[in-house]
Amino acid sequence: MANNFKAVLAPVLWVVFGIVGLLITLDYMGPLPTFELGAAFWPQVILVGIILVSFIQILSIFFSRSTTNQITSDPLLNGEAQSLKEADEAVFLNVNVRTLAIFLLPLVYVYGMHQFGFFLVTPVFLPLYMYVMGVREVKKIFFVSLGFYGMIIFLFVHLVFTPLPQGAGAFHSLNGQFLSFFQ
Amino acid sequence: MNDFFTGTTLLFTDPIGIAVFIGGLVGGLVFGAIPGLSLLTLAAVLLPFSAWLSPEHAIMLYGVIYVSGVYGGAITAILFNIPGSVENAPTAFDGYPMTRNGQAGKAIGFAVTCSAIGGTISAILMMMATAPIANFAISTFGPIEVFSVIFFGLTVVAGVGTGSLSKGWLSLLFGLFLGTIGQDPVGATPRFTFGTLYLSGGIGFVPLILGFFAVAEVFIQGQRVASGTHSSSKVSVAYPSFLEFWGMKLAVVRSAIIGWFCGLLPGVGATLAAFISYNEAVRWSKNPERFGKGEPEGVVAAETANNAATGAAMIPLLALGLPGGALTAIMIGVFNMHDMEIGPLIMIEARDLVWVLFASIFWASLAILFLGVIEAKGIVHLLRIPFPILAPCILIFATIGTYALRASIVDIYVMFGAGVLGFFMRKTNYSIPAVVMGVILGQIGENVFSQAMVMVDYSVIGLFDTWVSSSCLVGGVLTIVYLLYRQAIILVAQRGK
Repeated sequence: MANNFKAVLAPVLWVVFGIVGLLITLDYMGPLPTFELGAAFWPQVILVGIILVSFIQILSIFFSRSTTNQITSDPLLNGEAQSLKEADEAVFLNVNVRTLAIFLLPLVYVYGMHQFGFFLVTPVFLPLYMYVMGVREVKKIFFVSLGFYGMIIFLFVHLVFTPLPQGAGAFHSLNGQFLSFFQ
Repeated sequence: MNDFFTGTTLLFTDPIGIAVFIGGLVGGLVFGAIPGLSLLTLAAVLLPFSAWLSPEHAIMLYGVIYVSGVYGGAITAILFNIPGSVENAPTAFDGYPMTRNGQAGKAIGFAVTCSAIGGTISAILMMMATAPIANFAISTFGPIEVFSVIFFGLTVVAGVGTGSLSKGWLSLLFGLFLGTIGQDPVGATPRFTFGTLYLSGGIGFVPLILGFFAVAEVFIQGQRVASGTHSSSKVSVAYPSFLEFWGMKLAVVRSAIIGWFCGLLPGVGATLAAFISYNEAVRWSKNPERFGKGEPEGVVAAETANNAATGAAMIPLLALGLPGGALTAIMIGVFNMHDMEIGPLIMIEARDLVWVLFASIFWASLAILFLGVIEAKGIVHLLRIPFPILAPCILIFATIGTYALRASIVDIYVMFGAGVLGFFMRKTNYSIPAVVMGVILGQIGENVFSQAMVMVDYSVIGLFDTWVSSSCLVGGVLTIVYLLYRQAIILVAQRGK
């Protein structure tokens, strides 16, 4: 019963997604001067498709008695890949601090890049993420970070003038100075 | 034949010509492989310098960059799940799982060889009949036919990378939905933008692809590292055997034909070629369920087709002056810089130059084979770098690659959002390849559908008017019926047990 509820939850969410999407498309329904079907036609076909397939999925869950077996075993994966998949499923909900850090640190990096600029935040993110991922040798972290940062600056800034985020406020001009120095 | 020899002689009898050829080859490989350093970056950076080269060397340089760059993007797609460009995304669908299964050498071997074969076949066809083929393609393939080809292609996507047909369909439809975000292609009406300026331009392909592939992969491996279940990919330089290549002969021929015809179509070119060819490989395979899990034929189909499209893209460019994509548009600029007007008369007014371009594409396709074999033996060893060191580097490359495109920080947020979404979709057995195909083919599909419906005066029957469109539409419907029938049989069998 619990398995059935878990399996049905996802298609139900898809149905809700489809209905909400259809309601939004009502805002711009109606023909366009150059296209009679209007701007809403194509997304509506897709959203109706999502609702239909979700209903088929719900029906097939109730029709089939062995949904859980179908999801967990995959005869196409070789031994190692299969054991990895099983291990993945076992730890899927086992969230620890390290897992959270692996997910959140890149988001903090992007926010930091937005505020303080690429040149200031990247040298902090690189060693920190390596540490979170389990590298514990300080020398290795230092030299890899330095080498990679140098390579990025040389390749993207010095050689091909790729635009990189420069941050906001005072940090914008500081990053600009970095940029002109490296170029 | 004489023209080809003349073109080749002009290329290789001059040391500067040889240097430009090798430089273009290596530059294309490097820039094609690293996200953020696309082919277009290299082409744009070199444009002012090409004015200093002779017309032969300048146009040859761009031909070589085009060919080697399309191949270059396959390497990072296979080794790290980071497609160098959009047309290399289907290569990652099976190339990266092959790497995880300890078959990186084989995957790269197939990619190198099939890129070379696809490019060479395309170059030969291009040399044989540029003008008549261009006229045939342009008159036969209009919006109705392109829409029906896309419909036909999308009908098999649902089975890629997931064991569940309904989840495959939902993934595809979700991808199609993502493709509708932004302004509609006819009236520019904002859809699902919620009043934001960013979304009115639509969600970019590159942030989505890098998010779904590279960032999601870092999160998945990162979770394994955190839980102590991570294992590195086995490093293998074993090349595919001749028998394995021979087993792919039909896939190669089919993909070369598809790639070549898609390459002829202005505006879609190599991207459509790679995706449609991959879909057809799934359709014709005896084991379609293996795709997305490390099936070599997936790599073969994508790489043969996207390289076959390179030579074909030159045909409408040279014969009709229609660029197939951004790089061929830059090539018009190169011709103009050297006081030449591209179009039907170019074959008469600058015959030698055109044959230099043909010869450069032919020799570059062959050179990929040799350079690729040497490169593959070495580059596979990048997998020896421990993942905890590689992870932040992948994230930074993906970040730069995304930001470099439009200098938009929101693109980076979208990329990480797609990464988190991709992580959860993969964990719950949804198909990332189907989502990506939905986004890319959906946007092209809606555009041509709108044009097609106006052309047939909104009558669905009108879509069946030509033999190309009717066979593709009927084939697509039959595929859907067959997939539903197969799923029903499986369900009945499960219930019986």
